[in-house]
Amino acid sequence: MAETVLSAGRSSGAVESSAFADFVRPHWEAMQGLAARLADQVNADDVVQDALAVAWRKRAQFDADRGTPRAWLLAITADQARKHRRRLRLIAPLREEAVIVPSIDADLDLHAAILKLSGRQRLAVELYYFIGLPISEVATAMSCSEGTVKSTLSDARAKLRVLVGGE
Amino acid sequence: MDEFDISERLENEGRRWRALSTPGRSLDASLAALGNDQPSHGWVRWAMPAAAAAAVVIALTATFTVISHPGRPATPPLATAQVAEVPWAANPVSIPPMSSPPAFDGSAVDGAPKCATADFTAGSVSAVALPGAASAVWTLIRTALTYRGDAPCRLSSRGPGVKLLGASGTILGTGEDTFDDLVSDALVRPGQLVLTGATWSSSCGMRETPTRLALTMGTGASAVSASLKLGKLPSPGCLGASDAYPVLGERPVVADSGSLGSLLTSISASAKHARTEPLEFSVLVTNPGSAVVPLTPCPVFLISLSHPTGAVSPDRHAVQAAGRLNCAAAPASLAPGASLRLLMRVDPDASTSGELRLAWGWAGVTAQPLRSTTASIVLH
Repeated sequence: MAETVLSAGRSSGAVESSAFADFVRPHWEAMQGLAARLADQVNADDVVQDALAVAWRKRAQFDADRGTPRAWLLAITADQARKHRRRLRLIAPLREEAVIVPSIDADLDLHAAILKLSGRQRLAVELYYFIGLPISEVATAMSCSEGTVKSTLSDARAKLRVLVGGE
Repeated sequence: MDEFDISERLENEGRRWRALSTPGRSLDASLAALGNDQPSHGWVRWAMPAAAAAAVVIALTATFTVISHPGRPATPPLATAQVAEVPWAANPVSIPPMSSPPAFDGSAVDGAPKCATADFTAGSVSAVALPGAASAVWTLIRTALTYRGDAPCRLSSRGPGVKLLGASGTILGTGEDTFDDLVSDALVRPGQLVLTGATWSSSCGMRETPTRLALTMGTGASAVSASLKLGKLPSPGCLGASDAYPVLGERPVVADSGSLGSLLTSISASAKHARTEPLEFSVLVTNPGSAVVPLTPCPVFLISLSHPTGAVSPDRHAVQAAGRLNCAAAPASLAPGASLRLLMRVDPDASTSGELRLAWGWAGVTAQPLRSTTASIVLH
């Protein structure tokens, strides 16, 4: 098991990094997908790179009893995306003058509405609908119960219904 | 519209997005970059498909003037007046392929002792005033610290602390801010540079203020100070006046002195451009190290215009281009402390509009992508 290797100590840097790569590889695409969804798309590579570095640094903290590797890695990715957005807000003042181009079709409306959700609501939507995680793994990634995920998703859908439907 | 409709639309949109999403940078390449102890800046992803550059026609201008620095720490002006222009020359090239990445070896960083502040000395500084929203004025200061230790050291994942000090030594603005997103410890070797800096904003005017930028790089009580005596800085009373805009430490980058990667760069571009017109901008390049940086063989740079947050285009890069420096008009090297202003031009895609991110950086001659500099612009 990859998680067993991760917590087995450091007999060799090369061996450990190989085990780490094996640990991450099955979930790499999901990490990239979440980074692209949550971060500035221009910086999705940076976000996922940072998430990889954090995962490497915190590899000893992974506990298989508390969740799957995928949920753990996606939680780190989501956290890095949040930090990245904060950084961009601070260092890119011109963004505040951005021109908002009206959406021209329904999909763009939905996308724009998703961007208006709260951070937790958006993360739940992205993980469940776009990354395709089951509720249990969304709960692990968001460090909350499955019931909380369901209610968060319900609230998100209600808000989206208003935003998209104009009600 | 009922909740079922929304749920169905989300499921459909999720399936469609997963089907359309394209793979990004490979895990192996990311692990290799991790082993290099430097953060990625996204160049690898678009540097890989060399053919992508073929359709892009860029025109570039390279004009150089040397801004003298009478001593160290250097004190370049905020303004960008010391610029001489020469005729531009278009030298489009294909985006160069990447060489093989080095093997990932995280153990090298783990074994090194922590860096000590006393082992760093401040080099020259570049400062740029950026127009911000409303009346806010942003100031970006970048500096390079040279590691004078005898053995490699580990720069803590907390990154450098950044604070601004007035002439009397009082802390200006919001006090010390640590850049806590270095994410992985960086290995710094003797003679290498740590490039970092700080950004802050002011919304209530400017005045002349002798100021020092103090960076705490590692263990130790004293901070490394990069002394500045800039023509204008935000009034101390305005520094960090808004919670939204505190002093912000910049992600540090470790680079070899004398390498292209050690050069400090910053873009100057107008906030708005017509999409049907060539986009002209300039890049200030400063050598902050103590070694000469050769510009031979003639280096290649990369330009991209990319969609920022919210873009839904499968191809986030509206324009990707590579060009060779106008070396006929450029010096063969950049002396320590010297600066060059490179006048650049890129033709936007006429079909692209809205907010875009303009990025410029040297094309990597090794596997490690070199740091890029960016600006937000609006095409209309």
